[in-house]
Formats: sequence, structure tokens, C-alpha cells
Amino acid sequence: MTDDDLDLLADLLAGQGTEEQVDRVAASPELSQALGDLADADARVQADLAELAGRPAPVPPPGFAERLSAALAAEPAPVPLTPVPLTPASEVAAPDVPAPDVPMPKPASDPAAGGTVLPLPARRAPGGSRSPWVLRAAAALFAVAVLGLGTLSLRGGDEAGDAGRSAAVRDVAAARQVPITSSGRDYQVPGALEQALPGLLGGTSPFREPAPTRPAPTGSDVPGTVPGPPSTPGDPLARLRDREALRDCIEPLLMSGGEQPLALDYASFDGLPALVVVLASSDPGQLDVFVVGAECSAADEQTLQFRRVPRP
Amino acid sequence: MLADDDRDRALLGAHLAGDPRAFGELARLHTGRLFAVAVRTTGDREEAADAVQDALISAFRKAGTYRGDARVSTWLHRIVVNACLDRARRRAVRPTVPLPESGPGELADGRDELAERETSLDVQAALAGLPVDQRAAIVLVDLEGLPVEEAARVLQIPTGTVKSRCSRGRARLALSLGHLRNPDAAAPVPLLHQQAEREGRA
Repeated sequence: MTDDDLDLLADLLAGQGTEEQVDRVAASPELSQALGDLADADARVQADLAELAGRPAPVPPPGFAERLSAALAAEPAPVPLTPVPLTPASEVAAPDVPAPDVPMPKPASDPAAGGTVLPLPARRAPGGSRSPWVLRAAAALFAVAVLGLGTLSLRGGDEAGDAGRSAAVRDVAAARQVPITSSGRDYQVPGALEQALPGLLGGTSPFREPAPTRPAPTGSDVPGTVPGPPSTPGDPLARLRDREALRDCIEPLLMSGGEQPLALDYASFDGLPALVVVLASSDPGQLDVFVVGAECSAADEQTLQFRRVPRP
Repeated sequence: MLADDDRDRALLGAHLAGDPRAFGELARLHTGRLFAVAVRTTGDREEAADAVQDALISAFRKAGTYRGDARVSTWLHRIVVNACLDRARRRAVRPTVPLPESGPGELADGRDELAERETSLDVQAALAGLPVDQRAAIVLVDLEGLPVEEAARVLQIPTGTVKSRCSRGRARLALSLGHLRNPDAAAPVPLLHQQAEREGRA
């Protein structure tokens, strides 16, 4: 059995296979037998894991608590970047954006839309009722961005496989677009964020690059790079124009796998190169805006500023 | 659980308000479980300790960016798991040597206990050989008992991907542990085959 076959059977066992995959396995006596074997083996593995889980939990090495306490004591006191509502979870309003007053632009597929930005799907509330299909599709599409000229698709690795739902996924891809701007604007300047937000979110932006004179390649044409003006020599944010690096940077800021940023701006903060990431907030009337440094990564987002601001 | 989260949010709020003891208390409350996740994800106690310490310091520093949307424990797990995954990816090909989780120097008492420990060591060794993404999913769901939805929030991936990673990881564990024999030599247990026979389609 190949690794691919094993993954296929495991996906079916997890209820994650497509109808085509189910039919393929059902039509193959060998794969059908292997699926049965795997189901049996899976039960035994789960029993082994349960036994391991039932054993005493691993404990930190001696002295760990003291080392941690000393390390924390050496840290300077935190500076709240913005008032974050630390209300009990039970009192947090069910997140469901976009808010009713958010403009609903035309779909990008509409020629008249001219690359306008579609509203993103509502943030999934805990225990919410978003369709599982939409969640899977969202996983396959970490982000699709547009800069008035091209699209960016940051495909996440949905191990359940994309086959069988690719057409549907493409439909979602077309509908999930995020504006990217490279304004270079310094967001530490008071009022800069509030002034820029309407443009960043898809309206007319004084900071947006001029329209291209020819169609730019789509994200799929230039895998691995973020569409937009080519990175100039010495561009301090060149690293974050790489698709994978951008995904690694943004993912830790998201509240769920299906969430996408509402807008990105390659900008600056207090003279330092910075990426501005605009996200929907749990409060439908607000936006969460992260300003992260040029070395932002999954391990360290390098948050320079976080603000929760009213939607424009 | 909600009561715990209310307490955690209060501690985080107190930390942001300048209470010098609040974050330490929050860390103390969660260190045990975070370390268990870390050691099972990295397969190395010292590396897990370093990952947890780094992650908690990171959480201390960026407490102001906590958005209040997920439980504080989920937020902390996310930071720790990311730290572990980052470390594991950096040393992707370096083999790990699984250690007894209960720590050195603790003796097993009785034959059953010894056998269980041996099984657990085998499982830990097999777990250490999994791709790190699959290992992290299995640690959260099958070992820590997190609901799939919670694990999805920690890993920031869809629930379907969590299920897929767990199942794929368990399939590889089955091979490593000898529960899944070479299909050519295996006695068939054909669920679909039997069903097809019943339906007269075999």
C-alpha cells in the first residue's frame, strides 16, 4: 500500500473523503480490505493512545517552575496596546460579521465590479452553524487577495484533499478576496489608521498603487509571491511578500482556520517597516488591526501595535 | 470550564493592569497541561520545557493582544503548540528519543504496570516518528482529550483537517506498532467487501 493509499483510507475513516474517493475504494476489493484492516488497527491504536493518556501526565523537569518565575520576573511590565475586553466568555457577543452596515460590494467576477472586494464570510462563532463544506473550502483557501490587478491565493494544506470539491472551492476562491496595499504609510502617526481604513477595506485609497497598464498575473500564475508591485532592491518587507512567509506571519493572528484578513498594507510604524493586518473583530462594529514587524513569523508575530477600532 | 475561563480572563486583565503576580498565577495554573502537550509534541522533556518557557514569556509580553475571542487556555495552548511546532520543524530530521513521561527514577511496580509502561514507551516512540503536524493533532485530541473543535482553534486549522491529521497519524502509528500488517499478508477484514457481498455485488 502506498502512502497516498494509506492517507486516502485514513481520510475515509475520518469521514473526510469525497464521494469519488468512497466509490473508488468501494470498487477495489484490495482497498476495501485494506480499509477494513485499517479500521481494526485504528481501534487498537486508539486503545493504545488511551492507555498512554491515562498514565500520569509528564511533569516539568526539576527547577522548571523556579526558572520560569525568574524569567517572568525579569520581564518588564506589559503595556496594554489597546483596551481589550476581558469580559467573561459567556458575555462576549457572538461574533458574526460583517456588520449590517458594512458595504456589500459586487462580486469580483462581475466585470462591473472592477476588482472590488467581497465581504468575507462571517466569523465562526463557537458552536456556530457554518456549513462544514464551507469550513473545508476555507481551509483550502487561506487567503485570496487582490491589488486591483491580481489575485493572491494562499492555499493552506487541507490534508483531506481538494479533489472532488475543486470546482466549488474555486467558486469560493473567487468570492474571497482581500485587498493588499503597499502604502508605506507610518501608522504611528495619530489618526493614520482611521484615515487609511476606508481605503484599505476596498474603497478609493489615496495610498493604493495606480492601476496597472496591463493585467497582472494571477496568484496561480506566480506561485509563492504576493501580487503587487515587484519588490524593489532593499525592500525591507520583501520577505513578507512571499506567500508562505505571509501565511506564517498572519496565521497566529487569526481566531479560526477559516478566517481571512480583511486588508493588508505594507507600511511602516515609527519609521520601521511594518505590515498592517486588518481583521474582523468579535464585536461586529469593530475591527482588529495588528501592526507587525518585518520579521513576523508563526513563532513571533512581532506585534508593534494592536488596536480595536470602529469600522469606518 | 467557563468559570475557569472567567478566572483566567480576570488574571490576564489583572496582569495588564499591572498586577505583578497575576501572570505568574495564570502560568502556574496552566503549566502542567501545557507541559504535557509540549513534551508529547516535541518528544523531548528539555525541549518541551524550553518551548513552554518561551511560549509563556511570549504570552506575558503580548497579553495586550489577546482578543478575548477564544478561551485563555486555548490562546495559551496555541502559543505553546506553535512554539513546539516551530522547534520540531527546525530539527525535522533529528530523531527524538522518547523518554518515560513520568520522569526518570520512577520505578514501575508490578508486571502489569511494567507491561503498560512498555506499551506506552512503544506508543511514545511511534508518536515521535510521526510528521509533526499529525503528532500535534493526535496529542491534542487523543491524548489531551480536547474536542476536535477546540483542537482546531488551537491549531488554527479547520475541524476536517484535524480529523484528517489524527486519522492519518493513527494509520501510521498502526504501521509502526504492528497493528496494521502488510495488506498482502493480512487476513482480510473487509468491511466494505462484506457489505458488498451482502448486497450481492461482490
